[in-house]
This record gives sequence, structure tokens and C-alpha cells, in this order.
Amino acid sequence: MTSPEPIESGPPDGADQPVIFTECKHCGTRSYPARKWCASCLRSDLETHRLSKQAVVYASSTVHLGPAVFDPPYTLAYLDVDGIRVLARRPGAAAVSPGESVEVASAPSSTVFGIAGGGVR
Amino acid sequence: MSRAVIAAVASVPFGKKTDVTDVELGAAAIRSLLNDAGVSPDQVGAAYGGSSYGGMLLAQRVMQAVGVSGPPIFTVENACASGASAVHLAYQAVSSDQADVVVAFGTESLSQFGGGTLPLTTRDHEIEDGLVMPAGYAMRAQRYMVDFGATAADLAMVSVKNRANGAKNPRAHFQKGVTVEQVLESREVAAPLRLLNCCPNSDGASAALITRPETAAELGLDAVGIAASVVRSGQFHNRPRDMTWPDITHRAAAAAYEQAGMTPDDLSFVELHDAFSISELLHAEGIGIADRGRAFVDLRNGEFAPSGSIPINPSGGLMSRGHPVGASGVAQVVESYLQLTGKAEGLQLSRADVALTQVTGGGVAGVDNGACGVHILTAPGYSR
Repeated sequence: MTSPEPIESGPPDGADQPVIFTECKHCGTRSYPARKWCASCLRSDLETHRLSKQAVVYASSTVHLGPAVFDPPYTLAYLDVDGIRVLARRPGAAAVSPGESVEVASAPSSTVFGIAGGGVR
Repeated sequence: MSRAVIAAVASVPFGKKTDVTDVELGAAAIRSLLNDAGVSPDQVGAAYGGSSYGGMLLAQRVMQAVGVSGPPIFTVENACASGASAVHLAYQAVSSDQADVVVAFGTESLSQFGGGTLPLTTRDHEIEDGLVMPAGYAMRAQRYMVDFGATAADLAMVSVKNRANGAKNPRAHFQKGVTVEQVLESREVAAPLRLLNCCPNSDGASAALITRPETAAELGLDAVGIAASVVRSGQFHNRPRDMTWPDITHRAAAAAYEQAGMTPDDLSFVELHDAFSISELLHAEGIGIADRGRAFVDLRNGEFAPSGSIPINPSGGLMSRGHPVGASGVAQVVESYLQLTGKAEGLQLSRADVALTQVTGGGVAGVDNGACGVHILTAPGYSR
């Protein structure tokens, strides 16, 4: 039996870092955040990809009562991009609706989104 | 006939109990359970205690206070489904002849966290990105409203119904009704959910005695049959999913119907996981007592009221009874036992032959919930 390697953490910290995901070369399963091995077929031959910038909002909510570290109100959205469902956050209470197009990017320690063409955060 | 039955139940009233620990709450519930059932501590052959925040060896600390030490004792953590998981394991222990008299309980003290949203597990990327439980259900609510045409007033009606039910329940955290206007004017938590769309953080404990049918008869206790006991985990993937469909609830309920040889039409009433008002609509559809995207219409028509065709949460549900996380799944069994044995007093339904309880929980990324427990319970002497 081979000893498993530790799972790497998700996208590296630092503004303007690309959001990345992995795709299993064997079974095609996509993983976000990136993984060291495929959680479906357990093989480790994975390709790392940059997530496309254009995403579509599946659902969204402005959080008024939440952990102080996120400075409520903040807005969360589940975004669909590249066949993956991604949770992203942005400051403030500006709501977005299902079906809206937004841009997704990485900020320190989190995945963020902005209105398409309007920049992020 | 069931191979395992519920022979007795007990709950301490839920609420804010800042001067009592989770261990004391759990021990108080089990002491009542054993005393009322006429069971001595040395008759208990195993115990399973559900708790999410109680810490290491919670169940042993509780059972020591009620004279039970020596037999196998397990603390069960499965988020909001911890209590139902404890009942499920007790059912397994009895039906596989590992033990005859088994205590299943849940206890939780949430006062230790003050107000606000519950602290969730760390090392989950969605929680690190700001997800809290109300926000997850809020997004499901937004999408449900867009897809099916439900309104904020429909969501409010869930709270109005369940708070009215809980107003008659002496074990409930909230014993006062609310109006649609009060819900719609309450503080915003996570749009479209407002404070009165959310269950309270409560302290409390519930316990059930699971035995062989013959043992319950020897003890002279009313035996509620366990026609089905099912726990399922969430199916993990990163792909887009339809969040208006509670897949985990549907799978657990489908397995329970199969185990019981029943369909949703056999149910007299349901106690389900209404942690947020949208939850009741989603889970009612998931367990098949409402058509897809139509639960809010049935609610408008009064079908889920105590006098309706399929009462939901006649005890007040999590919304009114309160949600001491690890205790809720057992509390649903307690309330159902009281209905099925005709002991629900002011809450008693006119028809109470078959109950389904459903509780689901957990915020971890990539699943709709982490764990879901479903039980189908039958009145003493029930036959189809």
C-alpha cells in the first residue's frame, strides 16, 4: 500500500491569483478547490486548470447576520462556471439574481466575484 | 411487528437555560425517562448520545449522572442529524440482539455561543468564504421563489403555522404565535430570510428508550413501532446541482418507505427539519407529501395545519420547539411518540397512526447536507 500524500490547500493566497481547479485525466472529475488526487477514482494524475472568469449566478443572498470577520453585510453567490459550482463572496448588500453574469476571481484567502465588466470587489 | 420499539420518551422543556450544562440537561431527561418507565440503571445495556458541541465523551458524562456505567456508550456527532443517528444506532443495537434496553438521547447547550449564527466546522472552503447556515438555505429560498413562484409571505406562513402549533406545546422554546407581518418586519438575517424565518438557538435534551417489543410489554409500557430507521450521507460532487431538491432527504425517505413497506399516503403526520422556513417546503417535497414545487400551495390551502390532510410539525417544529442541534432528532421522536400513544394533550391530532420524522444537517461543501435521519413510527397495535 502506498501512503497518501497530504491534500494541498485550495487556490494560493494573494490578490490577482487565478482561481484554479483540477481535472482527473482518468475519469474527468473536476474538483474545486484543487486536489492532490481524484476523490472519485482515487488516481493522482490530475491536470490543473485556470477557472474561466465568466460565471453565471445560480443563487445569491446578502448576509446581514454573519461572522464579524467578513464585515456584514456581505453578499454570497453560488456561481456556475466550467461545469463547477463555486461559492464566492463580495462586500456589501448589492444583490444579484439567478441567471446574472458575473466575473469570478481570487482574493487573499477567498474567492470573490463582481458584476461582469465592473471589476471585482 | 417491529424488532425494536420505542417504549418510553422524555424531554426537558427547550429554551434558554444559561445556568445548566448540556450534561445536566441530558441527565435530567434520562432520569425522567428511566423513572417514568420503571427501568433501573443496571438494566440499560447500551446508550447513544447525540451532540454536536458537547465534546469528548459527552455521552459517558451524561450516563454517569444517571447511574449507567459499564455497558457500551457512544457519543454520536452528525450535525443536526446527531440525535436521529443516535436513535438509529440504538435501533440497530436492539434489532441485532446486541442489547435489549437501550437509551438514545440528544443534548445540546447553545447558550454558550451567545446569539447569532452557529459556529460551523473549520477547514471547509465554503465556510472560510463566509457561508453560514442561514445563507445556504437563503440561497435555496431565493432559487425556489424564482423557479416556482413562492413569495416571502409563503415563507412567513411556515413560521406562522409552526409558531401557532408550538404555542400549545409546554416543551417548546417559543410558546407564542407570530403574524405574517411580524415575520416580514423582523430583522434581516440572510435575504430573503428574516429572523422569524429562522429557528432559535436553544438549550435542551430529549431521550427515548428503545427495547424489544416483548420487553416493553413486560414493563407495561406503550410500544411505538419503528417501521423504518434510516440514515444517509450527502452525495458529494462539485457539479452544479438543483438546490431546490433535497436529494439527501429524498434518498433517506425513499429507503424508509421501502423498509416500512409504506408510501407517503400511509402517513398521519410528519415532524420534519424546519430549521428555516424554506426548509419545511423543500423537505415536504423531498419526502413526497407534496408535489415538486407545490408545497407552498399546499401550505396556503391549509394541508399542513393540524386539521389538514397531512399535518407538518404539529409540535411546533424546530421553528418553535427550538433547535438544540444534537437533541432535535430525538425530540421529533418524543413528540411523535406522544401523538401515537394519545398523550399529546393540547397538541393531540385526531388521526395519529403513522408518523415520519426527518432531520438533516451539516454545512460541508459539495453536498446538500452532511447527514439525514428518517424514522417511520407506528401507533401501538397499528395494523394496516
